[in-house]
Amino acid sequence: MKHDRITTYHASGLDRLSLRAWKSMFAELWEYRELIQRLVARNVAGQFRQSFLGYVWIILPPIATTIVFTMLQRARIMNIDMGASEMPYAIFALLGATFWQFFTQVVQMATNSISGAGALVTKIYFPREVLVFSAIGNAAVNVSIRLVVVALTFLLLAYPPHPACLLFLLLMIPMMMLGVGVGMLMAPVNTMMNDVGRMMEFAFQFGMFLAPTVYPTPDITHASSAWQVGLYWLHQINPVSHYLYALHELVQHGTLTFTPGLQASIILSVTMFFIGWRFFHAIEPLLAERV
Amino acid sequence: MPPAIIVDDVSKKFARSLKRGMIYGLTDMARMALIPRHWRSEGFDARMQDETSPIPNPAPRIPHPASRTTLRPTEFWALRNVSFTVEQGETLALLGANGAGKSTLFSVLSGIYAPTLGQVSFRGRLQALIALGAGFHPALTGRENLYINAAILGMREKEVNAIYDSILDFAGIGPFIDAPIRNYSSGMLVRLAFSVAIHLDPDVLLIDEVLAVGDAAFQMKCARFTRELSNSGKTIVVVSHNMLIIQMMCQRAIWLEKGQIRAEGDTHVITRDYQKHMLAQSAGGDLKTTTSSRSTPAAILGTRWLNEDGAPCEKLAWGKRHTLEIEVEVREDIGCARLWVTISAIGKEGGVMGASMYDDGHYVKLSKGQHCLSVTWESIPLADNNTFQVTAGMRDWSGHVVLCDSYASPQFEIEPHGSMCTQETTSPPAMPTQSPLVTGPYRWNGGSDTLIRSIRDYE
Repeated sequence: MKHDRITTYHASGLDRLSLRAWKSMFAELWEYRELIQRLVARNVAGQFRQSFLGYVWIILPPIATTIVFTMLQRARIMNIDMGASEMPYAIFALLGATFWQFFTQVVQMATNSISGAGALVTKIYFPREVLVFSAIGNAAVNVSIRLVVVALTFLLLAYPPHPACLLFLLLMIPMMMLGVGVGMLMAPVNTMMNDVGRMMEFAFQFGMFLAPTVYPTPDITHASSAWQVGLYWLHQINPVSHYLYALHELVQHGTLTFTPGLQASIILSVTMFFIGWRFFHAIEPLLAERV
Repeated sequence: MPPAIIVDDVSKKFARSLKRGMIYGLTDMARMALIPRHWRSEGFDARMQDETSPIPNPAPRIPHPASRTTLRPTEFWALRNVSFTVEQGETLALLGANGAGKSTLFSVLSGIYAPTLGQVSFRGRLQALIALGAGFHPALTGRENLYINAAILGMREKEVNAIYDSILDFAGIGPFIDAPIRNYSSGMLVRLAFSVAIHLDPDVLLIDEVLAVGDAAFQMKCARFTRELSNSGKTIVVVSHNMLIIQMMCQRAIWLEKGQIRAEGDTHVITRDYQKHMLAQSAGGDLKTTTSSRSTPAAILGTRWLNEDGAPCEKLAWGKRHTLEIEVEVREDIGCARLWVTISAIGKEGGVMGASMYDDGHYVKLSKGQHCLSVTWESIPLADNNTFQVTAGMRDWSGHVVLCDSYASPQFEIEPHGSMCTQETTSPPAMPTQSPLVTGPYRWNGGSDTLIRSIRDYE
């Protein structure tokens, strides 16, 4: 900041529904990039400093989920019909768990980023988006560590994925945008009513079983009950499902089909991101008062 | 010169009730999202550029559409139509009882809360010392936290690297810098945080009671540093309940009451009125018990200086040990009295040396009757080119209630010391005119009947 720069905070100012607002949003994000990096590094480093297992805690949730569901499947307690897929069930479950939990983390960490930083927010001004983006950075670091485990599992089970599956890293961008968008809508509300954070946690816990994470979407061409049809549509309206379909396809065949579902998901994700960010930015001055 | 801070008709409201606040928050949020407005701007502001017409561009009086200007149930004005300007290089004091709006004003100036009405502008980089230690993570080391803190306060890594040694030096926490800060004492934490904050080179500094932490030596360092900043043209706004600090540091004071400016002007006038007011308020409480409520429960009858040998002296000798005896008459038993003594140079503003029980954390219990309290300095670092005077006073534990009228001693001088000094120290360091308060090592003494106690023991 320059010494002759004049800063003004006012109750009312010029309308900024205009493009100017977007310009300043991106400019602020750029100006504060270093702080975002620092906060990500702080959280990643600080997270496990006082724990014995440390980063193992990051990889544990998807591994545990995978092991439990593989056991249930092998023991024939659960009988999941893998359909036409040749993918080993363990891989299927690991991919599902990893990416579902990634999405969950993005939304949850973004939602809690403001309410969790109350001491900071009430002490000093900086664009509050910084907190959201650094939370996302954290989730991204976590998922990168988990991806190493996924790669090791591929090796261990001698199931070579199609190299084109790396393309999925690109699809993770809109997936992340969806999470950030939802998180940015929820974070301010969460500062006032912490019901939101709890609700999110609850929704994601059960949502995992209503998405193609640990079992594939039922095939409705020979649906035997209305329940199957219902479940099918639940999967269809969930944008995350379409990213998972694309992932499964990429791993098995190395192809990427932009189905109408995937197209709609991407469009929804990007729109959600911009709506969420704009909302967040507009109500930013209210945040400190309610934390 | 154009002003450094303009606070222009600022009002800010809050809700007292949590549940209602929640509902108001959600509705405000919805309104604000539907009609987004711009609340923060940087760059040109005509009023701060042009000195000939200070306010040619008054703030738009239109409130933000999301913030209704009428109070909804349980809402109150934390600030109401507050306007003032602070000139560059000025040190301004904000006074007021708890809840008067001082911290809210600081928060508005820092951009933490948007004003409900009006606007604030300031020039350059603003640093609020309420933000001490922002972003500290207990498990990380001091060094890591230093960088995070600096980044939150708006500094780039390169800038931090350049002043890193200087920060460490000022903090003076030695090898602890590589220990996790959860192992720090609270004083060390503040040292580190304060050190980072002041190295940011702010143009406007907001200080909120932070000088009340840390040990005596560090406080002294901070007071000196603040004075230096002020001398080098920085604009400072201070909130403190310690009238002594305020009188020493500030030329002008603003007295806030219930969110409004009650009085504004010369520090000495304002602090006097403020203290009178506080005393009158508390007179309804603990002081009303006896006699006439107008008179103070104690009075300082006089002071005298004793030299090294304990003999009374008229002139003081530079660098020698001296004791100041303070004769106190106590009209009713006082459970907690705290003394302060300031030595000031005649014709100069502010004190040059002092001792205060508020700084060193002591108090005395005084029974009815006459007492002789004393304070001994190991060395008197005053130059012989001035005439000095002692001012002394006594207040209650909080510093709000005046227990006796402040006392001013006859003037005294320092002995020309040429004869007693050796060649290497030809002359004592002359006190600069705007010198910080020197608080060399000193010791209180209550005599046989009165014990000097630590304020920590006071319930």
